[in-house]
Amino acid sequence: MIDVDTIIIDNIKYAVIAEINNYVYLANIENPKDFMIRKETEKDGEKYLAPIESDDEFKKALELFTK
Amino acid sequence: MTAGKLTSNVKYSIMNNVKDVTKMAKENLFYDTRNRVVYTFEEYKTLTQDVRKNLLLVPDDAVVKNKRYLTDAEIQKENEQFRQDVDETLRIVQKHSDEARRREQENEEAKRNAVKDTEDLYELADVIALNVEQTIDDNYYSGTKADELRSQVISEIKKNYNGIDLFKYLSTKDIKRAIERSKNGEPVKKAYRKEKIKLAFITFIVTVSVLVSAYGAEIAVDMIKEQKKINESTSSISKLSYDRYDVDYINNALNNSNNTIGIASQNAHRNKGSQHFYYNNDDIARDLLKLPSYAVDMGIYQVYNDMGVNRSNPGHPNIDEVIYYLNIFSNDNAALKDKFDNCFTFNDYLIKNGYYFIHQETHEKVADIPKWLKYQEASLVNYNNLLKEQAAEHIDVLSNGGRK
Repeated sequence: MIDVDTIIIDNIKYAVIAEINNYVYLANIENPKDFMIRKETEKDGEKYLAPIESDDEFKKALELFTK
Repeated sequence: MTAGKLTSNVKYSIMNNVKDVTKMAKENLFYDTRNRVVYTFEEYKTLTQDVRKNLLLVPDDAVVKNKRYLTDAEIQKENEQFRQDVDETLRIVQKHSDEARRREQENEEAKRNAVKDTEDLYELADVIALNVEQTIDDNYYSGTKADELRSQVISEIKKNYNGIDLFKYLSTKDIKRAIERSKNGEPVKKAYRKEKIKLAFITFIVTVSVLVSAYGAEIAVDMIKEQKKINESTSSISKLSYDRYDVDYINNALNNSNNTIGIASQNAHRNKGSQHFYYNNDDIARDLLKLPSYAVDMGIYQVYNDMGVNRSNPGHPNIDEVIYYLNIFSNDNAALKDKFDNCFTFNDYLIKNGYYFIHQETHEKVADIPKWLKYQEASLVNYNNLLKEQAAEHIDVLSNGGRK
């Protein structure tokens, strides 16, 4: 048992695997096949996890993760 | 213990009881006609005349129990009671036996599940290891970076041996879905909650493996180049194929697939001109070392499968010698040097690479061949699936005009 940060997105609980350069790497605790990358944004002083914009951005985020 | 065995024991016991009763009846006994009490000859000698005058000899076919000559009615009653006792005993035995068998079955199922879980775990570990190795190869990672990636994943797989979540091989469809999931949806307020999660770390490992495989697939310039890599990879493995004129080549079903690792290269064909063709074990070792590092074990597995009924079977490779040469030739191979270091026999190789169990009495490590075979078989299946999937992906791309 270890402590992890979790967040609910679309009624699914995701574990926060890593946060690198505003990118947040998430994995579904119940189904490791289900994973995603989100981007941290800020609006009205509140922080949000927003979708990334493109395939290229996905690649870029993966590059960051694997470095 | 089974119901059948118990029932037999009870029957045997019943037969013994009957024998005892009969035996007593056949002895030279006397009985008092007034109360049917039975006396032995030694007892007879101690009796008074008053008692003696009422005594008769017990007939040979009489039934005596508890020093009493039984009447027919008593015999019948005894028999009924005896049958009831037998029935009751058998019922109890049956009940306990059924219970024992039920528990045994439950245990067997638990054992089978445990084995299945373990097999799935090994399969998972192999898939992840293959993904990592593939990524290292695809991206020409080397040195510290490759070693760190490899050792981190492998050691964490081992650490999280128990309680692992089981899942199947992750396809490129899963990766594509992850990309779509990442691009779509509404922003969500960043509100984390701290939780203790048992499987979190293995989730992390899985995610890493998925991400690196996605990275390898996505970062490749295009699927044409990807296919070229697959061809090169397949071709390098296909180098280890049977000599096509070798009878084993014809008989061995494995040679029908380019995706399968054969065992002997064109350069390592058997020596002709004798009754048997002999493989050159050193050539086999050289060819194995030409394989991508993740496929070497599978290559050894193929050698093992072809070695025949024992390790020195004429006309077949000698697995001990192959390992011996792998140890020598891998000295110049950074990726594989440690794998075969100090390995002079097949057993050495198994123990060195973690395929062993501890002997209960000697506490020494004993090579566990079945465990190794199971691993390699799973690896080979996964490897073939991986290639098939990549090939299918390539076909998809081609049918889409070269676009992903």
